[in-house]
Amino acid sequence: MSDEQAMSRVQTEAQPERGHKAFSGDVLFDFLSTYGTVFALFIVVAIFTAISPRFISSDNIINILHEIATLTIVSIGLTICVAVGEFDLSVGTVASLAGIVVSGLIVRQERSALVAILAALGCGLAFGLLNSVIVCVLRIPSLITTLGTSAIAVGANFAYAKGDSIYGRFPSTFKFIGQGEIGPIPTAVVIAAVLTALAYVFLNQTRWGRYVVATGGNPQAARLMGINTLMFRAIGLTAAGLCAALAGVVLTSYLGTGQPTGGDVYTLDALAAVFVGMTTVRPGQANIAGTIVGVLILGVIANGLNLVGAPFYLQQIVRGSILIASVSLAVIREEIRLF
Amino acid sequence: MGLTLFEARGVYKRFPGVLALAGVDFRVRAGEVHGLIGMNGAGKSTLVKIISGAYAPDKGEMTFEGRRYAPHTPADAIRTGVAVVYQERTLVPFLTVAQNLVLGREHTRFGLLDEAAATRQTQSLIEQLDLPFRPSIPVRRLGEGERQLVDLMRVLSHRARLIILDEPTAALTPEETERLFNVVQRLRDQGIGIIFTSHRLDEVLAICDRLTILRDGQVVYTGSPSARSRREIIDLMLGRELTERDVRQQHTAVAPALSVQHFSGEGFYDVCLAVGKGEIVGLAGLVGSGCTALLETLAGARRPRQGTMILAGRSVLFRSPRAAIKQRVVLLPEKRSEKGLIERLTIRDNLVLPSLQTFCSFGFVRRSREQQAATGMMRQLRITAPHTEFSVRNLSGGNKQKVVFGKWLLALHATDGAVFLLDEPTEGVDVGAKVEMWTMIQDLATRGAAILIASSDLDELLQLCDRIYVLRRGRIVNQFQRGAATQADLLHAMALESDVEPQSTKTGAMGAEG
Repeated sequence: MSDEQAMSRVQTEAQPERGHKAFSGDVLFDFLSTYGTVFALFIVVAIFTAISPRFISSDNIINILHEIATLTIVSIGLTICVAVGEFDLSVGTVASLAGIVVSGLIVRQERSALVAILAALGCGLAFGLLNSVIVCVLRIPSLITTLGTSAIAVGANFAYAKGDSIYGRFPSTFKFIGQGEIGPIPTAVVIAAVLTALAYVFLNQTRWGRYVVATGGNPQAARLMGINTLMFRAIGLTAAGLCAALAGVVLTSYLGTGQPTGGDVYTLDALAAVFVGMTTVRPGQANIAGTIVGVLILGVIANGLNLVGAPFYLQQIVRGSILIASVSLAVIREEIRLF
Repeated sequence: MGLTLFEARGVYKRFPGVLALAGVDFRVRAGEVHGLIGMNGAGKSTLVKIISGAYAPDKGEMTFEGRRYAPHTPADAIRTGVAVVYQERTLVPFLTVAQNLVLGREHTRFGLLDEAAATRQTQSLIEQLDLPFRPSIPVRRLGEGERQLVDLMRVLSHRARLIILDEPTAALTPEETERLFNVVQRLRDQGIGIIFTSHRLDEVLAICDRLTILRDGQVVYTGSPSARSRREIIDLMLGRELTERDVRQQHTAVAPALSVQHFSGEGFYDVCLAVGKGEIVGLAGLVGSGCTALLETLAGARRPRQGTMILAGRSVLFRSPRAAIKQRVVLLPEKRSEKGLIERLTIRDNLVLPSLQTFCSFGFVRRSREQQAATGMMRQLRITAPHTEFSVRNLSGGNKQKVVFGKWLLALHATDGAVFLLDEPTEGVDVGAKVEMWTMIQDLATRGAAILIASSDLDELLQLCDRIYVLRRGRIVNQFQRGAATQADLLHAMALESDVEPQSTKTGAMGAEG
């Protein structure tokens, strides 16, 4: 038997006042298992820097942050959703739908940017609430529910735009969201950063945030402690839908066109980011800081692979592998239990 | 008196930072039931794991049947003839008893399974132990206690001569325990050595021929259980004099704080009962008798079907635990790790969760305030952990239960007039913590709380309760006043079908209240 195993058993067996004393080996092991993923990020950065010194330039760093802004927005919403114990597989197609709705309303219906954005966010809200009702009232597992509503979002998308891309002139106010800059920082990055800060405060410093984490930790016990767990599940699912729609809006502005499948990849990428995040900072728990580490790893690898001229198909293989590896790590360490 | 079957001499086991066993000598004779007891952390489970081959000792040697015994793995130990029956069953629910018994070493004829041989072997074991089921019954149709017996049979079919029963009765009803004890006695008469660990002192005293008490990794007593009083044994385990528990005075409630009339729900029917302010009322019943369902319904976690519930003179219907908590009716559920705690979170998180709004302003948690409250509660209840940020998962059973208690104490502010529903409050809790728990419960009653306790520990009910209702198959079949019943009376009422009608003679006074 390895020492680690022996240690972890002692933790649960020995009398508290004796067993809980920290010994250096334990502390190091704890630290490595908590922050190993952060080291992985540094290692990836170091490798790409060694191959291509341009990688670490300030231009490229801003570039990376700009590229990951939309994924960050989706992942933040999904983090709250996973923290409450639910999944959302519809974030990608809801983001696509929101992107098509916002561009369609501006270009084809010639509505103002504000109206179009509100309508797109309304789509995200609607899907979040639809998911909530199915999960909380009909008691269908969210994994199945959102797989279904994901397809419904695709249908709505195609019904509205017939599957075509939407090109045209966007007002400069709208373009500012995805392409503009505030000082040296792209607006999209500012939006993602503000959202991240808000979500961090919500989950860590507010009463409702604490209830979200409690519900995700043990719904049965949380309910018996007087927490309205159904409401917090709905909050998690709605947050995921809303953030997905916001990401769709930012993406459309960033691209300058409405792409009918533009946001679809976010389902995989955001799940990967959240699961990578669950391996670090607060192992076993979806947490904002961890998710940001996850988004950075995905973003850095995507950018780095481009920069060194790796074949395009490698991107998808690497992302899929990251998702599986992070979930495997968490499952092996018994930090999360799926099903 | 049998020959020495197993002997350990000078066994040391050190884990990083902890000396779990400090030179233990331990001897089991053939044909004896040997009790192994001690508080949590005394080294019981480490010793069991060393004997069963899961750990290797750092120092010391062991012999089994006169030969040197140093198993490298549990499989090694089983081949030698030493096996553990664990609490978690390792049976395949969809296979039959016989199929489970031969799992991994099936009899074959011409490459095909020989079910008949498996059935024959199983049948002979069943007859030998006088067990009440057939070899062909699927394990999923058996109850918890019967599954354990199947596990025991499986160990026997491996020709084990030393069997370790590790907390075998934790999940069993008194009836099932009785049957297990019969089997254990048969095995002893056949010359098998049995090591028996349990938190329930009564059982250990009832079944064991000899007793070894561990404390802080050392043997503090080995010998006949009858040579020491119950009190002396507890003192040996604790290593200190137990504070004298003051004998509770019979408390007669003036008016009920909580009462139900013709109350029915899933698993219980037509229940009429009342709990007064300052009163401790017990619910005794076998598993499935409806105690848990009743308590969870009273706490708003399940919906009642019929009947009225009256709280402080007003009729109430709780649609959620949240509603019940608002009316100061709180539940300390059974299976505290699953229902009572969020194990992933810290002691502080768990303690303040139900009362979080009092530590918040404008929806933001005031960290210093909740920290202060959590620290205070940890000190008040003497929760043994290094700090409030310690994960609840790593606490002992007793400390976990204290956290469950503490969160309601924080949520209720004053306990006067509050209703505490306790479901198996001391299950899996060591003796020391159990006594503390009892003191806390009595203290709550003294301060005006109404307390309803369901427990399978009949001694606990008899010690604590002013009145005890007995439930059988979801109905109240009897009621006893304090001092009017013995364990045998309770067991009789819980387990026997015949006799009295519900709410019989002794219940007269209470039935009318509310």
